Parts: sequence; C-alpha cells; structure tokens
Amino acid sequence: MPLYRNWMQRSMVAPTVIAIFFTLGTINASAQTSAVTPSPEQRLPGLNAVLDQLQKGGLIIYFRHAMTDQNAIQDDDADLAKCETQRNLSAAGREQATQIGKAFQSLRIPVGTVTSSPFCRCKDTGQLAFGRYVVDNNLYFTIKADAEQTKQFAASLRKMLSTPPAAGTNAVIVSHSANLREAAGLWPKPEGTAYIFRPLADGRFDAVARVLPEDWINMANSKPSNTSRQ
Amino acid sequence: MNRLTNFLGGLSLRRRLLVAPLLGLVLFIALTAAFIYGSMRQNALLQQVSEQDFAAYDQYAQTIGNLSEQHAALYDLLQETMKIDEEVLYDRAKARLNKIHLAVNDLEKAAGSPVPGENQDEAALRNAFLASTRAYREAASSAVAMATVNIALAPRHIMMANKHFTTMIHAYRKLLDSGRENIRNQISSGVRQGQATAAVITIAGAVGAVLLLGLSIILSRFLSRSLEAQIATLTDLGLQAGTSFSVHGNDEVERIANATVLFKQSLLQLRDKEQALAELNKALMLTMDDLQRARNELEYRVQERTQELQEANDGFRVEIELRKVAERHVNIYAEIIRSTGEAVVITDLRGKIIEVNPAYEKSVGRAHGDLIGTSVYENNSADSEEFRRQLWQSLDADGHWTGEILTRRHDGESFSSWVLINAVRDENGNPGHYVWVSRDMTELKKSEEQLKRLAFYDSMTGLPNRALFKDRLAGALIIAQRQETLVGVIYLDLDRFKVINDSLGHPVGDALLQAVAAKLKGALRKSDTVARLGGDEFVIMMPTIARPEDAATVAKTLLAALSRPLQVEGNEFHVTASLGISVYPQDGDTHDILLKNADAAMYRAKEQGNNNFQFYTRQLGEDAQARITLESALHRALEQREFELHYQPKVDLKTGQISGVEALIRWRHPERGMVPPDQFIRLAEEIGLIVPIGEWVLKTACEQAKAWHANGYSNISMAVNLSARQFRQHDILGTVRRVLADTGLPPEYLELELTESVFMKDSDSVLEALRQLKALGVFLSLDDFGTGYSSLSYLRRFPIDVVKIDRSFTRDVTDSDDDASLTKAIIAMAKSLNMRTVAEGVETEGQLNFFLENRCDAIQGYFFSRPLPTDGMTALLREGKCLSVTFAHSS
Repeated sequence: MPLYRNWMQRSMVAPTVIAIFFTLGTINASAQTSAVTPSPEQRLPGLNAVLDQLQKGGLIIYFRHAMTDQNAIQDDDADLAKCETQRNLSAAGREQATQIGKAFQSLRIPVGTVTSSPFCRCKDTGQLAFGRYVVDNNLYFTIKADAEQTKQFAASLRKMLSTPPAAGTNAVIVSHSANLREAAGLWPKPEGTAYIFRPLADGRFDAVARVLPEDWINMANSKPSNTSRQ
Repeated sequence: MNRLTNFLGGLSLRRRLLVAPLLGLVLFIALTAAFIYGSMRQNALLQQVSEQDFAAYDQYAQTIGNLSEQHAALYDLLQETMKIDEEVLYDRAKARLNKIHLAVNDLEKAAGSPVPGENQDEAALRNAFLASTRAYREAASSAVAMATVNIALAPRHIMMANKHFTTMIHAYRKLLDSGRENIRNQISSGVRQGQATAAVITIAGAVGAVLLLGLSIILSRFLSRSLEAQIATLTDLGLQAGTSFSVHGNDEVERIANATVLFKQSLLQLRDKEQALAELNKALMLTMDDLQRARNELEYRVQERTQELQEANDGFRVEIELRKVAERHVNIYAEIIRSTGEAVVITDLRGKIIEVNPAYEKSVGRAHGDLIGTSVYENNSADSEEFRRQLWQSLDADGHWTGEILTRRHDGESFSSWVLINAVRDENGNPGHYVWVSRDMTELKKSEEQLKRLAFYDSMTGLPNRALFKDRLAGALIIAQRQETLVGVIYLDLDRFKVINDSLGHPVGDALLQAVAAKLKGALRKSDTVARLGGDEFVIMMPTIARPEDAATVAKTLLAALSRPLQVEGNEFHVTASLGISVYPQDGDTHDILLKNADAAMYRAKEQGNNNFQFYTRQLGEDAQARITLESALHRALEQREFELHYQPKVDLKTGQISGVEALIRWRHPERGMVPPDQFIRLAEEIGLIVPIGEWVLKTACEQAKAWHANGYSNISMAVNLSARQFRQHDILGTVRRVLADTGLPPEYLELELTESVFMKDSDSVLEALRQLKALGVFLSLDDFGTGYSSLSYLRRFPIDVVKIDRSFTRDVTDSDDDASLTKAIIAMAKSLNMRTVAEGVETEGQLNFFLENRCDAIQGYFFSRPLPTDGMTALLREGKCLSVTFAHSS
C-alpha cells in the first residue's frame, strides 16, 4: 500500500512541477508589467506533496493572515501604530493561527525567520502561530500603495521568495493577498491560505504547493506526532 | 524765503539761468520713472492673474476630472463584483487605484506648498481640498480591499467611497469659489492702486510745475534787477558827465546798448569840450579812465550773456529729446493693452465704444470698425434690462463696477464674462471715459457644470443615471427605515420601442426618449426621482409613501401621462409602457434587490400584454429564477438534441385500424429526466424558441411518417400541434411548404392541430393563412374543442377538417348526462358541417362504447395505447394491433 501511494505521488508531482515551472517563468516576466495570467493555483498540489521537504527545511512559506473580522471596522483610517483602527483577526482567526502553530510543531516543521507585514492582523498571526515575528515594511498592503511603491514592494517580495532560508529551517512570511498577486501572480484565497515556494538561483523561485489553513491541522491530526520519517 | 533769496543772490548770473531748466529736467525724469513703474506693476498683475492663478485652477479641474473618471470606473467595477473573481477584481481595481494615487500625488506637488500671496482662509481651503482627495484615495483603497476580502461587502464600501468622493467635490467647489473671489479682489485692488499712482503722478507734476514757475519769476526778477542797476549807473554817469538823456529799448540788453550809444555821444560832446577845457581836464582824466574801464566791463558782460542764452537753447533741445522718450513709453503701454489676453474696451460715459483691443474683438467675434461707436453693453449683451439699469446706476454713482455679465457674440450666442469697469477722470476729477476689462468665463463655467453632470446624469435625457439613482434610493431607504415608512420603486420599460428604433432610426428613437423623459418628469412629484438606466428603461423612486397602493396611483398617473400622443420630429407616437413595482421593505431592503424585483414585476406586466403595471411578489421572484434556469437549459436542449417525439395512435372507429398518429414532443433533460411539454412549451413561446423547436418537430414528424410509408404502412397520417404563438410569429406557410418538399410526404398525410387561441386574434389574417395552408392540401384540425370559447362561428368561418373533442368531455361522458349530451351535440354538429370528429383521452371501454354508439369517427387514448417512442410505435404497426368495433355494428 505505501508503495502504491509513493508511486501515485511521484507520478502526479513530476508533471505538475514541470507545468508550474513553465507557468512561473511566464508569471515572473509578466508580473513586472503587472499583467497577470490566470492563476495556476488549481494545478498546485497540497501539503502532502511537500511535507517531507518542509520537514527537512529550505522552503519559504507565504501565509495570508488568518481570518479577520470583516464587519467590525472601516479600513480607510488604518493607523499602523494603533491596532484598534485596523481590521483585525476575528476570534476564529486567532484560533486558526494558534492551531496552525501547533500543527507545525506536531508535524515537526522547523521554522526559521518569521517576517510580517506591519499590519496587526499579520503580526498577530505570526505571534500566535510561531511566537515571534520581524516586521518588514516592504510587506505593506499593496492595495493601499501607489504604483511606484507597489512595484518596489513586489520586487522586494520576489527577492524574499528567492532567498534560501538558514540551513535546516523554513522561512515564514505573513502578509496579504494582494502582495502575492503583485509579486507572483497568485491570489491566496481564503484568508489563512499559504503558498509554499522553493527559492532558485538568479532571483527566481518555484511555487510548489498551496495549503489551506485546515490542511495543516488535518494533517497533524491524521499523523501522530511521533511518526518518524519514511 | 529770505534764505532762498540770499542763496539765489549768491549765485552767478550763468548759474541762475540754469536753475529752472535743471529743476524741470529732474521733475520730468521723476514723473516718467513713476509712470513706467506704475505701468509695469499693472502688467505684472495681469500676468499673475492670467498665468499663475488660472493655471492652478486648471490643474485642480484636471485632477477632479481625472478622479471622476477613475471613480466612475471603480464604481462600475465594484457593481460588477458578483460576476468576477477576487483576483481579477483586484487587478482591474488596482490599475484604477494607481491612477488615483498618481492624480493625488500630482495634486500634492502642484498645490501642496503655500501659494504666494494667499491668505490663511485660502490656505485652509486648499489644504482641505488636498485632505479630501487623500481621504477619497484611502476610501477607494479600502473599498477595493474589503471587496477583495468579502465581495458581499462591496456595496457598503463603495457607498463610503461615494461619500468621500462627494466631500471632495464639495471641497473643490469651495476652493473654486474662494479662488474666484480672490482673483476678483486682486484685480480690483490692482486697478485701484494704478489709479492712485496715476493721481499721485498728476499732482506731483502739477505742484512741480507751479514751483518751477515761481522760481523762474524770482530768477527773472533777479536778472532784470541787476541789469536795471547797470542802466541806472550809466544814466547816472551820463548825468555826472553833464549830459542828460533818456534811455529807450524793449529789453534790458537793448536798453544797455542804447544807453552805451547815448553815453558815447555824450563822450564825443565831452571831447569837443575837452579842447576848451584841456587845461582843466587833468583831474577829469581820472574819471575818463574809470568810465573806459566800466565800458569794457559792460562789453564783457554782454558777451557773457549771449553765451548763456546759447546754453539755455541747448537745454531746450535736450528737453525735446526727453519728451520723445516719454512718447515711446506711452506707445509701449498702448501695445501692452493691445496684446493682453484680457478684453479691454474704452467707452465714453454713455457706453459708446471709443476703442477696443483685439482680445475684445475676438471674444465677441466682430471687427474693430463695426464696434466703434456702438453701445458696449446694450448692443452686445443678453442681460436683463433691469440688471443693465442697475449696473449703469452703480457705475455712474461709484465710478466703478465689478461683476459677471452676459456678453453676446456676433452669432447671437451669449457667454458669461467677468468684467471690471473703471472711470478714467480728467484733470478736474470728472469722469471722462470708462475702461472695461473683461475675461471670458465660459470655459470655467462649462467645466464646472460638466463635472457635476459627468458622474451622475444621463447625457441624453439629462435625468439622473443609475449611479445617482442608487445613491438616492440608498439614502431614501435609510430614512424610511428610521421613520418606518415605505419606499416605492417602479421599473418602466417602453413597449415595442425597439420597433421604433429599427424602423425610424436612432435619432428619432433618441428624440422620443427625451420626450418621454420630460413627460415622466412632469408627471411626478418633486420628491420623486426618475432616472434612465439605459435603452428604453426608466426607473422611478417614491420616497416615504404610506401604502403600497400609493405606488400604484403613481403608476396609473404615469400610464395616463404616456397615453397622450407624443409629437416627435414630425411623427405622432402613441407610446405605452409596462411597469413593475417593488416596495420597501416587503419586497426587499437593498436597492439592488428592489430594482431586481421591480424589473421582474415589469416582465410580468409585459406578459400580461403591455400597457399595465404589476406588483412584485415573492412567488414571482422564485418563478423568475426557475424561468432563467429553464430558459438556458432550453437553449441547450435544441443544440444537444435532447428533444424527441412520441407518437399516440388514432384508431378509426369504422375499421378499428390505426389511421394515424399524433406527434407529441418530449424533452429528455439530462438531470430532470422526461419533462412534459406543459412545463416548457409556454416558456419556449415567450422567448421565441418555439419557432426552431416547432420546425424541428414538423420536420422530424414528416420524416417519420415518410419512413413508415416506405415500410408499407402507407395509410398512416401524421398530426402535428401548432401553437398560437408559432402561428403568428412565423412564416408557418413557408415552413410547411418547405418541410413537405424536403421530406417528400404527400400533403394529405399531414394534419396540423390548432388550438382555439389561434382564431381569437386578428382573425382576418389567420383566415387567410389557414386558406393558404389548406390550399397546400394539408388537413387542419381544431384541438381541445370545448375547453375555450368554443364559438361555433369558428367552425363555420374557418376551413377546419377535424374537430378533436377534449379529454375533459371524454372523462365524464359515462358519468354525467350533461356532458354526454353536449358531446353528442358536438359530434352531430361536426357531421352536419362535414367535419370529422376525434375523441381524445379515451381510457375505458365504456367511453369507447359511447363514441362507437354516437358515430364518432376516431378515438385516441390510453385505452388503445399511450404515446410511444418511435421504436414502440413501429412495433405496434408491425404487429397490426387493432380495435374490435363490433359494438357499433351490433347496435
């Protein structure tokens, strides 16, 4: 049975990765001019395909912040210094972030740097899930930025996605939907969705998986924490 | 005064003569300098007003225009959110947001720093405008952000962005008003300053001239006084020499010369006496020497004065040169007025034009020669008489007037211009002329108007557009919620407007829409809003009504208003409309739902046959949903060949054999299975699909009949149903003829089944069509007889071959005496008119026996066979199933 599953995984992953490699080539080129081709997320595999690699480290995990309270507040007076003026994590979102963090531990995924957007909903997500974060202002919400800044933010994020993390760890980035759209043509939907990237040489990167927030938790529940690697 | 006299007395004669011209020169230079300075200041003012101030407002207007465009696009985009993905929404909206950022950044660069010469209030307004654009930018970003998080929130957030957009427009208008006020003040203060400078120069010139005159008098007195002294001395000397003479001459110098001559004569006389007095003269010799010396001195003085006069002459020449320079400056000033962009007119006190500059000629479009001598205002203005009278009154009283007047161009068109009028006074301070300086404000006004209308009004009818309507409706809903009142929404669609557009052309269609718009507006209360959504669709909102019936009253009023004929471009139109009503809160609590439901109600009004109104009900909304689903499925069904025909045999009651079949359509829906015709035929009729479906049925049925004939069942006739709609909408004659030709089925084997509804409308043309069908050789039967009006006149008038007795009669013939006798009557009557009768829905032996007994010609129904698919029917034919008809023969 395990043999059968391995064969299944490999035969599915190989063509998908090749397909994505080609698509990403297009995205990298077109993201410069911000004309983005339809998103290829439907073709990306889930957590299953990359869990092994995650446990070894060397990947970059881009999280869109967890679920927010959408009705509570107007977003237009947002002051970075005052969380109460911003759209923040809902109770469910806080729980979601905490559970993702626990899942990481139980799945033994090593986490190195945690870089966050200056918005509180991102910082909170990082804090609740991984107990730490470093703010990078280049992760500022691009919907609120002008064309020049947007371009700068996208370039900076592309650089982050192509920079290998410290050996044996994965780097975590917590930011917004639009920022990833600008940098890689991907739209993380819904809130809490993560995209996993492999940094490549020459400032390039591959998107290798799309993970929904509940996928981490389900995977952790299905595999007891003492499962050793295959 | 004494000191001045002493000072002048101390000067030599030469210097004394130079004092007056010198002072004159100084005065002249000072006045010219002051004059040039004044004119330069005026020029600088004109420059500043025309370039800097207007440039700033041009920039603001451009920014606002740009933001309006982006806002409208964003608005549309967010309205469309239900149909597109979040990421596509983001990509499109982001492009708009970037442009908004760019516009706001540019505006900050252009208007972010203090404008030279602006006061605190203006700075506050400018900053408020800037802040409002930033707030709008944030609100727009936020709306997009929230829409990409949760699309359902889009309407609420676009409302917020709308609010900020409106605030920004308000701030802009305030800034514009203040700017206009400011420019007006600047110009009038500049003009006032210019007047003051001119007055000072005039007074200084006059005072200087008076002083110079006094000084000259004093100097000349000094000069003549010293010369007189000389003459006196000479006379005195003559007297002392013993000669007495009187001195003549016009001026002092001539008199001195004459005195010298006379004195010489006395000297000659003295020489005569000298001989006699030679001895006595020794003492006198001394005096002679003295006199000689005095004469020398005098000659020297005369020479000296001649030279001084020469020098004074040179001084005058210099003055003439200076005057020429001054004249050149005056010419420069005239050139400035000639070439300035402001329109300048000089008139006399009654407004007759004396001089105009090219800018004015251009602005009114008249030649210089045509303007001179005409009245500047009365001949060239569209202002009211009262306004003009007040202007002149104020001008005559104050000597100046500032404000907006309407100037008429040569082609009669008027434009608004900002004008400053000032009196030019003569040396006595009496006004002699008026100077009118004006600027065309048309563009400024137009851009302001345009801005206001751009975003919220329909350009063709001038009515509010969808955006403004939704805004107002949203506002009315908030008020109605608070006051617990109702809000009515009417959706109005003109009937058959497309026909007018197609047949008379778009220009007539547009003119008609404008006339309808005016009529609707006229029929409504002020508090109601009528908007055009596009095409021939209008929508009306009635805020705070008390009962839903009030909306019905308004709908009736509108229908009545439209019922009067409209004259448009020489055509008379009788316009009708279909109206749908929805009412808040019972039919929905958001503007989208209310509009959608009013629209659905309008469709039902159309179904009811136009020119009426209908209320929305919840059932209607659900029906509409089901209809839409079914409609798209129907379209697909034809393409995917989901239809099939079943056939129900008819049995001839004389032979007991199958004489023919009725083709019945079935829809094999991929999910819902078999759908009976009563669930889709009506919809197909409404959406026009009945024509292709009907044609398919006819063709398939005829092909099948032909196939059976080829297999030896050559007496089988094929009956096909034609609906009323199909009959009217379509060239049915052509279709039948073509299908018969294509399939090769002899016409006498085709029977067309019509319902009574076919005959009820426009019976003359129906009659004609039926005759032509009949002429082809096909049979015509009247379906479902007895269920509708069952007018016997149809049977007589129309060329019917067969009457089909409805299943409702058949069902009851064995139970109800009434039905039995009615059915008997129908059969008897048909026979008397030479028509065949077929009983439908025969299910029992009792029913069969009834029809056998009463000599009905044929039956169809479950008793013999239910409708069968093609294979089943072919099998039935093959086995030769027939009916025992012995009952009839035995009886």
